[in-house]
Amino acid sequence: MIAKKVLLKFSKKAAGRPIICELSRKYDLTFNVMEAKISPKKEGLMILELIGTENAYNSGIEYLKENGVEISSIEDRVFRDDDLCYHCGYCLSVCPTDALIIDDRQTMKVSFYKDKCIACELCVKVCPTKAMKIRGLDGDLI
Amino acid sequence: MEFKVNKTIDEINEKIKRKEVVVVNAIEMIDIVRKHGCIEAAKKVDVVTTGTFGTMCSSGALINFWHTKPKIKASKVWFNDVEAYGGVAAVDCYLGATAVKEGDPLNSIHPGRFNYGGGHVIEDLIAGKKVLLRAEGYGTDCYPAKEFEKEITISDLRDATLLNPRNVYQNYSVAINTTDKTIYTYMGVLKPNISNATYSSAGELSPLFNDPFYRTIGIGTRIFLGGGIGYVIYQGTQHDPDVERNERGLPKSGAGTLAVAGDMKQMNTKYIKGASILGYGVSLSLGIGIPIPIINEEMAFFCGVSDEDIQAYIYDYGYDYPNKINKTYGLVTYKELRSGTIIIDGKEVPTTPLSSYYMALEIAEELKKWILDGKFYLTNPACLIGQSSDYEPLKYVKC
Repeated sequence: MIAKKVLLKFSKKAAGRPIICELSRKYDLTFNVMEAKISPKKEGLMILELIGTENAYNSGIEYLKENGVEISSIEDRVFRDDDLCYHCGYCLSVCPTDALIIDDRQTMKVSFYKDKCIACELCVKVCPTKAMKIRGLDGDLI
Repeated sequence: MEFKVNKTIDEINEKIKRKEVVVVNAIEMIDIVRKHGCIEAAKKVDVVTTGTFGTMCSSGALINFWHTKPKIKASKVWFNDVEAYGGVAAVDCYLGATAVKEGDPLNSIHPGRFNYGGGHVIEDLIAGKKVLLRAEGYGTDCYPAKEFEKEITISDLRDATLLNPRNVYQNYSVAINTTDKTIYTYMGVLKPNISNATYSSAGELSPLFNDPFYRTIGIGTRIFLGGGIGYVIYQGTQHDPDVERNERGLPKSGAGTLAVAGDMKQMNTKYIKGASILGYGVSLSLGIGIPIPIINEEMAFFCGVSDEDIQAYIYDYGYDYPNKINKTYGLVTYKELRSGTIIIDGKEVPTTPLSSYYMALEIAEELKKWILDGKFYLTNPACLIGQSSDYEPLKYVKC
Protein backbone atom coordinates (compact mmCIF):
# COMPACT_ATOMS: atom_id res chain seq x y z
CA MET A 1 0.00 0.00 0.00
CA ILE A 2 1.15 3.53 -0.69
CA ALA A 3 -0.20 6.93 0.32
CA LYS A 4 0.70 9.93 -1.81
CA LYS A 5 -0.43 13.53 -1.84
CA VAL A 6 -1.09 15.07 -5.23
CA LEU A 7 -2.23 18.43 -6.50
CA LEU A 8 -4.84 18.20 -9.23
CA LYS A 9 -5.68 21.00 -11.59
CA PHE A 10 -9.00 20.70 -13.44
CA SER A 11 -9.73 22.64 -16.60
CA LYS A 12 -13.12 24.37 -16.78
CA LYS A 13 -14.45 21.38 -18.74
CA ALA A 14 -13.12 18.74 -16.35
CA ALA A 15 -14.23 20.61 -13.23
CA GLY A 16 -17.89 19.98 -14.07
CA ARG A 17 -17.68 16.18 -14.16
CA PRO A 18 -17.69 13.60 -11.33
CA ILE A 19 -14.17 12.29 -11.90
CA ILE A 20 -12.84 11.80 -8.40
CA CYS A 21 -15.44 9.30 -7.23
CA GLU A 22 -14.36 6.97 -10.05
CA LEU A 23 -10.97 6.64 -8.35
CA SER A 24 -12.77 4.75 -5.66
CA ARG A 25 -15.29 2.89 -7.82
CA LYS A 26 -13.03 1.80 -10.65
CA TYR A 27 -9.56 1.76 -9.14
CA ASP A 28 -10.11 0.80 -5.52
CA LEU A 29 -8.31 3.85 -4.20
CA THR A 30 -9.15 5.54 -0.92
CA PHE A 31 -8.91 9.29 -1.06
CA ASN A 32 -8.79 12.06 1.45
CA VAL A 33 -9.68 15.54 0.16
CA MET A 34 -7.31 17.96 1.90
CA GLU A 35 -8.30 21.05 0.02
CA ALA A 36 -10.55 21.86 -2.92
CA LYS A 37 -11.46 25.11 -4.58
CA ILE A 38 -12.91 26.41 -7.80
CA SER A 39 -11.49 29.64 -9.22
CA PRO A 40 -13.64 32.46 -10.65
CA LYS A 41 -12.66 31.09 -14.09
CA LYS A 42 -14.34 27.79 -13.07
CA GLU A 43 -11.05 25.92 -12.95
CA GLY A 44 -10.62 23.53 -10.06
CA LEU A 45 -7.69 22.91 -7.73
CA MET A 46 -7.68 19.97 -5.37
CA ILE A 47 -5.19 18.43 -2.99
CA LEU A 48 -5.84 14.72 -2.52
CA GLU A 49 -4.18 12.04 -0.53
CA LEU A 50 -4.48 8.79 -2.48
CA ILE A 51 -4.15 5.50 -0.64
CA GLY A 52 -4.00 2.10 -2.33
CA THR A 53 -1.72 -0.42 -4.00
CA GLU A 54 0.95 0.90 -6.32
CA ASN A 55 -0.86 -0.58 -9.32
CA ALA A 56 -4.14 1.03 -8.35
CA TYR A 57 -2.39 4.34 -7.78
CA ASN A 58 -0.73 4.28 -11.20
CA SER A 59 -3.97 3.32 -12.99
CA GLY A 60 -5.86 6.02 -11.10
CA ILE A 61 -3.34 8.67 -12.07
CA GLU A 62 -3.49 7.48 -15.69
CA TYR A 63 -7.29 7.76 -15.57
CA LEU A 64 -7.08 11.34 -14.23
CA LYS A 65 -4.67 12.34 -16.98
CA GLU A 66 -6.94 10.84 -19.64
CA ASN A 67 -9.69 13.03 -18.32
CA GLY A 68 -7.71 16.24 -18.70
CA VAL A 69 -6.62 16.64 -15.11
CA GLU A 70 -3.13 18.08 -14.62
CA ILE A 71 -1.28 16.31 -11.84
CA SER A 72 1.69 17.40 -9.81
CA SER A 73 3.26 16.18 -6.64
CA ILE A 74 2.90 18.51 -3.69
CA GLU A 75 6.09 17.24 -2.13
CA ASP A 76 8.48 20.20 -2.42
CA ARG A 77 5.67 22.49 -3.53
CA VAL A 78 6.07 24.53 -0.36
CA PHE A 79 9.63 24.87 0.83
CA ARG A 80 11.67 26.90 3.23
CA ASP A 81 14.60 29.18 2.49
CA ASP A 82 16.73 28.49 5.54
CA ASP A 83 18.75 31.68 5.08
CA LEU A 84 15.62 33.74 5.58
CA CYS A 85 13.99 31.75 8.38
CA TYR A 86 14.83 33.09 11.80
CA HIS A 87 12.64 30.67 13.75
CA CYS A 88 10.22 33.31 15.02
CA GLY A 89 7.09 31.17 15.11
CA TYR A 90 4.53 33.30 13.20
CA CYS A 91 3.80 30.29 10.99
CA LEU A 92 3.11 27.87 13.84
CA SER A 93 -0.34 29.16 14.69
CA VAL A 94 -1.64 28.80 11.13
CA CYS A 95 -0.14 25.46 10.03
CA PRO A 96 -3.07 23.01 10.11
CA THR A 97 -1.04 19.79 10.02
CA ASP A 98 1.92 20.53 12.33
CA ALA A 99 4.26 20.36 9.33
CA LEU A 100 5.77 23.44 10.95
CA ILE A 101 6.39 22.67 14.59
CA ILE A 102 8.74 23.22 17.51
CA ASP A 103 9.97 19.73 18.45
CA ASP A 104 12.66 20.78 20.83
CA ARG A 105 11.41 23.08 23.57
CA GLN A 106 14.99 23.70 24.70
CA THR A 107 16.23 25.30 21.49
CA MET A 108 12.79 26.46 20.24
CA LYS A 109 13.92 25.79 16.67
CA VAL A 110 11.08 25.65 14.13
CA SER A 111 11.18 22.40 12.12
CA PHE A 112 9.52 21.90 8.73
CA TYR A 113 8.33 18.41 7.77
CA LYS A 114 7.61 18.34 4.05
CA ASP A 115 5.83 15.01 4.26
CA LYS A 116 3.18 16.51 6.52
CA CYS A 117 2.69 19.60 4.35
CA ILE A 118 -0.57 19.79 2.40
CA ALA A 119 0.50 22.93 0.52
CA CYS A 120 -2.31 25.05 1.96
CA GLU A 121 0.11 27.99 1.72
CA LEU A 122 -1.04 29.68 4.92
CA CYS A 123 2.56 29.83 6.15
CA VAL A 124 3.58 31.49 2.88
CA LYS A 125 1.16 34.33 3.59
CA VAL A 126 2.12 34.68 7.24
CA CYS A 127 5.91 34.31 7.15
CA PRO A 128 7.34 37.79 7.90
CA THR A 129 10.57 37.25 5.96
CA LYS A 130 9.00 35.25 3.09
CA ALA A 131 11.18 32.28 3.98
CA MET A 132 8.25 29.98 3.14
CA LYS A 133 7.95 29.80 -0.64
CA ILE A 134 5.77 28.02 -3.21
CA ARG A 135 6.71 26.41 -6.48
CA GLY A 136 4.01 26.72 -9.12
CA LEU A 137 2.63 23.85 -11.19
CA ASP A 138 5.39 24.41 -13.71
CA GLY A 139 8.07 24.36 -11.03
CA ASP A 140 8.69 28.11 -11.09
CA LEU A 141 8.72 30.16 -7.93
CA ILE A 142 5.52 32.04 -7.29
CA MET B 1 23.48 47.67 52.37
CA GLU B 2 26.87 46.64 51.11
CA PHE B 3 27.70 44.09 48.48
CA LYS B 4 30.04 41.23 49.36
CA VAL B 5 31.43 41.07 45.84
CA ASN B 6 32.52 44.29 44.15
CA LYS B 7 33.98 44.35 40.64
CA THR B 8 34.41 47.29 38.33
CA ILE B 9 33.91 47.30 34.58
CA ASP B 10 37.51 48.46 34.22
CA GLU B 11 38.68 45.34 36.08
CA ILE B 12 36.54 43.17 33.80
CA ASN B 13 38.00 44.90 30.72
CA GLU B 14 41.50 44.21 32.05
CA LYS B 15 40.55 40.51 32.24
CA ILE B 16 39.24 40.64 28.65
CA LYS B 17 42.58 42.11 27.59
CA ARG B 18 44.52 39.40 29.45
CA LYS B 19 42.16 36.74 28.07
CA GLU B 20 41.22 35.71 31.60
CA VAL B 21 37.65 36.83 31.49
CA VAL B 22 34.87 34.35 32.34
CA VAL B 23 31.88 34.84 30.08
CA VAL B 24 28.73 32.69 30.04
CA ASN B 25 25.40 33.12 28.30
CA ALA B 26 22.22 33.84 30.24
CA ILE B 27 21.11 30.19 30.10
CA GLU B 28 24.41 28.83 31.40
CA MET B 29 24.21 31.35 34.25
CA ILE B 30 20.94 29.82 35.55
CA ASP B 31 22.67 26.58 36.58
CA ILE B 32 25.76 28.34 37.89
CA VAL B 33 23.69 30.47 40.28
CA ARG B 34 21.57 27.48 41.33
CA LYS B 35 24.61 25.35 42.01
CA HIS B 36 26.96 27.86 43.63
CA GLY B 37 24.70 30.62 44.97
CA CYS B 38 24.92 34.19 43.82
CA ILE B 39 27.99 35.23 45.83
CA GLU B 40 30.15 32.41 44.44
CA ALA B 41 28.62 32.92 41.00
CA ALA B 42 29.55 36.61 41.14
CA LYS B 43 33.13 35.71 42.04
CA LYS B 44 33.33 33.12 39.25
CA VAL B 45 31.60 34.88 36.35
CA ASP B 46 32.54 38.28 34.95
CA VAL B 47 30.06 38.74 32.12
CA VAL B 48 26.69 37.23 31.19
CA THR B 49 25.65 37.65 27.57
CA THR B 50 21.97 38.10 26.71
CA GLY B 51 20.16 38.29 23.40
CA THR B 52 16.88 38.97 21.69
CA PHE B 53 15.66 38.69 18.10
CA GLY B 54 12.25 39.94 17.13
CA THR B 55 10.17 42.36 15.14
CA MET B 56 10.75 45.84 16.52
CA CYS B 57 8.61 48.45 14.77
CA SER B 58 10.21 51.44 16.45
CA SER B 59 13.31 51.23 14.26
CA GLY B 60 14.71 53.11 11.30
CA ALA B 61 17.75 54.39 9.49
CA LEU B 62 19.26 57.87 9.71
CA ILE B 63 20.80 58.37 6.30
CA ASN B 64 23.02 61.08 4.84
CA PHE B 65 23.39 60.47 1.11
CA TRP B 66 25.95 63.27 0.58
CA HIS B 67 25.72 66.28 -1.71
CA THR B 68 24.62 65.93 -5.29
CA LYS B 69 25.94 68.09 -8.14
CA PRO B 70 24.31 70.60 -8.34
CA LYS B 71 23.27 70.47 -4.71
CA ILE B 72 19.75 69.70 -3.53
CA LYS B 73 17.91 70.49 -0.29
CA ALA B 74 15.95 67.26 -0.36
CA SER B 75 12.64 67.84 1.38
CA LYS B 76 11.13 64.63 0.03
CA VAL B 77 13.17 61.43 -0.25
CA TRP B 78 12.36 57.90 -1.36
CA PHE B 79 14.37 54.68 -1.35
CA ASN B 80 12.90 52.08 -3.72
CA ASP B 81 9.66 54.11 -3.57
CA VAL B 82 9.50 53.97 0.22
CA GLU B 83 9.31 57.50 1.56
CA ALA B 84 11.80 58.69 4.16
CA TYR B 85 11.32 61.79 6.30
CA GLY B 86 13.18 64.68 4.67
CA GLY B 87 12.44 67.46 7.13
CA VAL B 88 16.01 67.60 8.39
CA ALA B 89 19.19 69.03 6.80
CA ALA B 90 19.77 69.05 3.03
CA VAL B 91 20.84 65.44 2.45
CA ASP B 92 19.85 63.91 5.80
CA CYS B 93 16.70 61.84 6.11
CA TYR B 94 15.13 59.25 8.37
CA LEU B 95 13.74 56.07 6.87
CA GLY B 96 11.23 54.47 9.25
CA ALA B 97 10.99 50.67 9.37
CA THR B 98 7.18 50.69 9.06
CA ALA B 99 6.93 53.00 6.03
CA VAL B 100 5.16 51.10 3.24
CA LYS B 101 6.18 51.28 -0.43
CA GLU B 102 4.09 53.75 -2.41
CA GLY B 103 1.24 52.14 -4.31
CA ASP B 104 0.93 49.19 -1.94
CA PRO B 105 -2.71 48.05 -1.75
CA LEU B 106 -2.39 48.11 2.06
CA ASN B 107 -5.44 46.48 3.63
CA SER B 108 -7.81 47.20 0.72
CA ILE B 109 -7.92 43.43 0.26
CA HIS B 110 -7.81 42.32 3.86
CA PRO B 111 -5.50 40.93 5.17
CA GLY B 112 -2.90 42.89 3.16
CA ARG B 113 0.44 41.28 2.35
CA PHE B 114 2.65 44.39 2.77
CA ASN B 115 5.44 43.05 0.61
CA TYR B 116 7.95 45.89 0.85
CA GLY B 117 8.75 48.83 3.08
CA GLY B 118 11.33 50.63 5.18
CA GLY B 119 12.51 47.47 6.95
CA HIS B 120 13.15 45.84 3.57
CA VAL B 121 15.12 48.85 2.29
CA ILE B 122 17.29 48.63 5.42
CA GLU B 123 17.86 44.91 4.74
CA ASP B 124 18.63 45.54 1.05
CA LEU B 125 21.11 48.28 1.91
CA ILE B 126 22.88 46.05 4.45
CA ALA B 127 22.92 43.21 1.89
CA GLY B 128 24.82 45.57 -0.45
CA LYS B 129 22.01 45.59 -3.02
CA LYS B 130 21.34 48.52 -5.34
CA VAL B 131 18.58 50.79 -4.10
CA LEU B 132 16.92 53.59 -6.11
CA LEU B 133 17.28 56.93 -4.33
CA ARG B 134 14.89 59.65 -5.45
CA ALA B 135 14.75 63.16 -3.95
CA GLU B 136 12.80 66.36 -4.51
CA GLY B 137 13.59 69.88 -3.35
CA TYR B 138 11.95 73.26 -3.94
CA GLY B 139 15.20 74.91 -5.02
CA THR B 140 17.13 77.63 -3.18
CA ASP B 141 20.09 79.83 -4.08
CA CYS B 142 22.46 77.51 -2.25
CA TYR B 143 20.63 74.28 -3.21
CA PRO B 144 19.32 74.85 -6.74
CA ALA B 145 18.49 71.26 -7.81
CA LYS B 146 14.84 70.28 -7.64
CA GLU B 147 15.12 66.60 -8.50
CA PHE B 148 17.65 63.85 -8.08
CA GLU B 149 17.53 60.18 -8.94
CA LYS B 150 20.29 57.57 -8.72
CA GLU B 151 20.87 53.92 -7.98
CA ILE B 152 23.01 53.69 -4.88
CA THR B 153 24.41 51.06 -2.55
CA ILE B 154 25.26 51.44 1.12
CA SER B 155 28.87 52.26 0.25
CA ASP B 156 27.68 55.39 -1.60
CA LEU B 157 26.04 56.68 1.57
CA ARG B 158 28.03 59.07 3.71
CA ASP B 159 26.26 57.82 6.84
CA ALA B 160 23.84 54.94 7.38
CA THR B 161 23.02 54.74 11.07
CA LEU B 162 20.43 52.42 12.47
CA LEU B 163 18.58 54.62 14.98
CA ASN B 164 15.83 52.87 16.87
CA PRO B 165 13.70 54.84 19.32
CA ARG B 166 12.32 51.79 21.14
CA ASN B 167 13.78 48.29 21.15
CA VAL B 168 14.46 45.46 23.61
CA TYR B 169 11.08 45.73 25.35
CA GLN B 170 11.29 44.37 28.88
CA ASN B 171 8.40 41.91 28.76
CA TYR B 172 5.30 42.06 26.59
CA SER B 173 1.65 41.00 26.57
CA VAL B 174 0.39 37.54 25.70
CA ALA B 175 -2.20 38.01 22.94
CA ILE B 176 -5.51 36.20 22.46
CA ASN B 177 -8.67 36.89 20.49
CA THR B 178 -12.05 36.64 22.24
CA THR B 179 -14.12 37.66 19.21
CA ASP B 180 -15.68 35.23 16.73
CA LYS B 181 -13.50 36.29 13.77
CA THR B 182 -9.84 35.63 12.92
CA ILE B 183 -7.77 38.79 13.33
CA TYR B 184 -4.42 39.78 11.80
CA THR B 185 -2.30 41.73 14.25
CA TYR B 186 1.29 42.61 14.97
CA MET B 187 1.02 39.73 17.46
CA GLY B 188 0.40 37.40 14.51
CA VAL B 189 -2.75 35.62 13.39
CA LEU B 190 -5.15 35.24 16.32
CA LYS B 191 -7.91 32.73 15.83
CA PRO B 192 -11.45 33.29 17.14
CA ASN B 193 -12.78 32.29 20.56
CA ILE B 194 -9.39 32.11 22.28
CA SER B 195 -8.12 29.29 20.03
CA ASN B 196 -4.46 30.33 20.22
CA ALA B 197 -2.15 32.66 22.13
CA THR B 198 1.04 34.40 21.01
CA TYR B 199 3.84 35.95 23.05
CA SER B 200 6.90 37.99 22.26
CA SER B 201 9.96 37.86 24.47
CA ALA B 202 13.04 35.69 24.67
CA GLY B 203 12.30 35.46 28.43
CA GLU B 204 15.35 34.27 30.37
CA LEU B 205 17.65 35.28 27.50
CA SER B 206 16.20 38.76 27.08
CA PRO B 207 18.54 41.60 28.17
CA LEU B 208 16.23 43.54 30.46
CA PHE B 209 15.05 40.44 32.35
CA ASN B 210 18.67 39.91 33.33
CA ASP B 211 19.12 43.50 34.49
CA PRO B 212 15.56 44.21 35.58
CA PHE B 213 16.38 47.50 37.35
CA TYR B 214 18.72 48.84 34.62
CA ARG B 215 21.70 48.92 37.01
CA THR B 216 24.36 48.12 34.41
CA ILE B 217 22.65 48.77 31.07
CA GLY B 218 22.53 52.53 30.62
CA ILE B 219 23.30 55.37 28.25
CA GLY B 220 26.46 54.49 26.37
CA THR B 221 26.35 50.72 26.89
CA ARG B 222 28.08 49.02 23.98
CA ILE B 223 25.94 46.26 22.43
CA PHE B 224 25.65 43.75 19.60
CA LEU B 225 23.28 45.36 17.10
CA GLY B 226 22.24 43.58 13.93
CA GLY B 227 25.61 41.81 13.68
CA GLY B 228 27.66 44.97 14.26
CA ILE B 229 28.56 47.09 17.24
CA GLY B 230 26.00 49.57 18.52
CA TYR B 231 25.21 51.55 21.61
CA VAL B 232 22.34 52.26 23.97
CA ILE B 233 21.80 55.97 23.40
CA TYR B 234 18.94 56.69 25.79
CA GLN B 235 15.97 55.05 27.42
CA GLY B 236 13.46 54.04 24.76
CA THR B 237 10.11 55.70 24.19
CA GLN B 238 7.39 54.39 26.53
CA HIS B 239 10.08 53.39 29.07
CA ASP B 240 8.05 52.64 32.20
CA PRO B 241 10.13 51.38 35.12
CA ASP B 242 7.29 51.55 37.67
CA VAL B 243 4.94 48.83 36.42
CA GLU B 244 3.87 46.03 38.78
CA ARG B 245 6.76 43.69 39.62
CA ASN B 246 6.91 40.20 41.12
CA GLU B 247 8.93 38.92 44.09
CA ARG B 248 12.09 38.80 41.96
CA GLY B 249 11.63 42.40 40.87
CA LEU B 250 10.58 41.34 37.36
CA PRO B 251 7.89 43.43 35.66
CA LYS B 252 4.70 41.53 34.76
CA SER B 253 4.00 43.61 31.65
CA GLY B 254 5.86 45.86 29.21
CA ALA B 255 8.23 48.05 31.26
CA GLY B 256 11.73 49.23 30.39
CA THR B 257 12.80 49.97 26.81
CA LEU B 258 16.03 51.11 25.13
CA ALA B 259 16.86 53.48 22.30
CA VAL B 260 19.82 52.13 20.34
CA ALA B 261 22.00 53.19 17.43
CA GLY B 262 24.77 51.66 15.35
CA ASP B 263 26.56 51.74 12.02
CA MET B 264 24.59 49.84 9.39
CA LYS B 265 27.74 49.32 7.33
CA GLN B 266 28.96 46.80 9.94
CA MET B 267 25.71 44.85 10.04
CA ASN B 268 24.80 41.47 8.58
CA THR B 269 21.41 40.47 7.13
CA LYS B 270 21.56 37.27 9.15
CA TYR B 271 20.70 39.45 12.14
CA ILE B 272 18.51 42.14 10.57
CA LYS B 273 15.66 41.49 8.16
CA GLY B 274 12.70 43.34 6.70
CA ALA B 275 9.40 41.93 7.91
CA SER B 276 5.94 41.74 6.32
CA ILE B 277 3.25 41.19 8.92
CA LEU B 278 0.04 39.91 7.31
CA GLY B 279 -2.81 42.40 7.67
CA TYR B 280 -0.68 44.75 9.77
CA GLY B 281 2.20 46.25 7.83
CA VAL B 282 5.95 46.20 7.32
CA SER B 283 8.55 46.27 10.04
CA LEU B 284 12.08 45.25 10.91
CA SER B 285 13.18 42.07 12.68
CA LEU B 286 16.54 42.39 14.31
CA GLY B 287 18.88 40.89 16.81
CA ILE B 288 20.36 42.67 19.80
CA GLY B 289 22.81 41.27 22.33
CA ILE B 290 23.78 43.01 25.55
CA PRO B 291 26.59 42.01 27.91
CA ILE B 292 25.84 42.24 31.61
CA PRO B 293 28.86 42.79 33.83
CA ILE B 294 28.57 40.78 37.04
CA ILE B 295 29.77 43.60 39.26
CA ASN B 296 28.25 42.16 42.45
CA GLU B 297 26.14 39.29 43.80
CA GLU B 298 22.96 41.18 43.02
CA MET B 299 23.70 41.14 39.28
CA ALA B 300 24.56 37.42 39.57
CA PHE B 301 21.18 36.85 41.22
CA PHE B 302 19.35 38.81 38.52
CA CYS B 303 21.19 36.95 35.73
CA GLY B 304 20.16 33.65 37.32
CA VAL B 305 16.61 34.33 36.15
CA SER B 306 14.82 31.49 34.36
CA ASP B 307 11.57 31.29 32.42
CA GLU B 308 9.64 29.94 35.40
CA ASP B 309 10.38 33.19 37.30
CA ILE B 310 9.03 35.47 34.57
CA GLN B 311 5.35 36.20 34.13
CA ALA B 312 3.24 38.03 31.57
CA TYR B 313 -0.40 39.09 31.47
CA ILE B 314 -2.80 37.83 28.82
CA TYR B 315 -4.79 40.45 26.87
CA ASP B 316 -7.53 40.29 24.26
CA TYR B 317 -6.48 41.83 20.94
CA GLY B 318 -9.89 41.26 19.33
CA TYR B 319 -11.91 43.81 21.25
CA ASP B 320 -10.08 45.12 24.33
CA TYR B 321 -6.74 46.18 22.82
CA PRO B 322 -8.13 48.20 19.91
CA ASN B 323 -10.58 49.91 22.28
CA LYS B 324 -7.92 50.60 24.92
CA ILE B 325 -9.64 48.46 27.55
CA ASN B 326 -7.14 47.27 30.12
CA LYS B 327 -8.61 43.92 31.12
CA THR B 328 -6.47 40.85 31.70
CA TYR B 329 -7.27 37.18 31.12
CA GLY B 330 -4.69 35.89 33.55
CA LEU B 331 -1.00 35.73 34.33
CA VAL B 332 1.27 32.99 32.95
CA THR B 333 4.97 32.17 33.19
CA TYR B 334 7.32 31.97 30.23
CA LYS B 335 7.95 28.36 31.17
CA GLU B 336 4.27 27.67 30.52
CA LEU B 337 4.29 29.76 27.34
CA ARG B 338 7.32 27.90 26.02
CA SER B 339 5.76 24.52 26.80
CA GLY B 340 3.27 25.07 23.94
CA THR B 341 0.03 25.30 25.92
CA ILE B 342 -1.45 27.50 28.62
CA ILE B 343 -4.76 27.27 30.45
CA ILE B 344 -7.23 30.13 30.06
CA ASP B 345 -10.55 29.81 31.90
CA GLY B 346 -9.99 26.05 32.24
CA LYS B 347 -9.39 25.64 28.51
CA GLU B 348 -6.10 24.44 26.99
CA VAL B 349 -4.86 27.02 24.50
CA PRO B 350 -1.87 26.44 22.19
CA THR B 351 0.88 29.07 22.44
CA THR B 352 3.36 30.13 19.77
CA PRO B 353 6.22 32.61 20.01
CA LEU B 354 6.89 35.65 17.80
CA SER B 355 10.34 36.46 19.14
CA SER B 356 13.05 33.98 18.21
CA TYR B 357 14.49 32.27 21.27
CA TYR B 358 16.68 30.24 18.92
CA MET B 359 18.35 33.32 17.41
CA ALA B 360 18.49 35.07 20.80
CA LEU B 361 20.68 32.25 22.06
CA GLU B 362 22.82 32.37 18.93
CA ILE B 363 23.39 36.11 19.47
CA ALA B 364 24.28 35.60 23.14
CA GLU B 365 26.81 32.99 22.01
CA GLU B 366 28.22 35.25 19.29
CA LEU B 367 28.65 38.12 21.73
CA LYS B 368 30.34 35.71 24.15
CA LYS B 369 32.83 34.81 21.43
CA TRP B 370 33.53 38.47 20.66
CA ILE B 371 34.34 39.13 24.31
CA LEU B 372 36.47 36.00 24.73
CA ASP B 373 38.37 36.91 21.54
CA GLY B 374 39.11 40.37 22.94
CA LYS B 375 37.12 42.04 20.15
CA PHE B 376 34.47 43.56 22.38
CA TYR B 377 35.01 45.54 25.58
CA LEU B 378 32.40 46.59 28.11
CA THR B 379 31.51 50.21 28.80
CA ASN B 380 30.55 52.11 31.91
CA PRO B 381 27.23 53.80 31.29
CA ALA B 382 27.59 57.59 31.09
CA CYS B 383 24.30 57.81 32.96
CA LEU B 384 21.63 55.32 34.05
CA ILE B 385 18.22 55.37 32.34
CA GLY B 386 14.99 56.10 34.22
CA GLN B 387 15.15 54.10 37.46
CA SER B 388 12.39 52.22 39.26
CA SER B 389 11.16 53.60 42.57
CA ASP B 390 10.96 49.94 43.69
CA TYR B 391 14.71 49.48 43.63
CA GLU B 392 16.91 49.30 46.69
CA PRO B 393 20.25 47.47 46.70
CA LEU B 394 19.80 43.76 47.58
CA LYS B 395 16.06 44.21 48.23
CA TYR B 396 15.08 41.36 45.93
CA VAL B 397 18.14 39.16 46.26
CA LYS B 398 17.54 35.67 47.66
CA CYS B 399 20.57 33.44 47.64
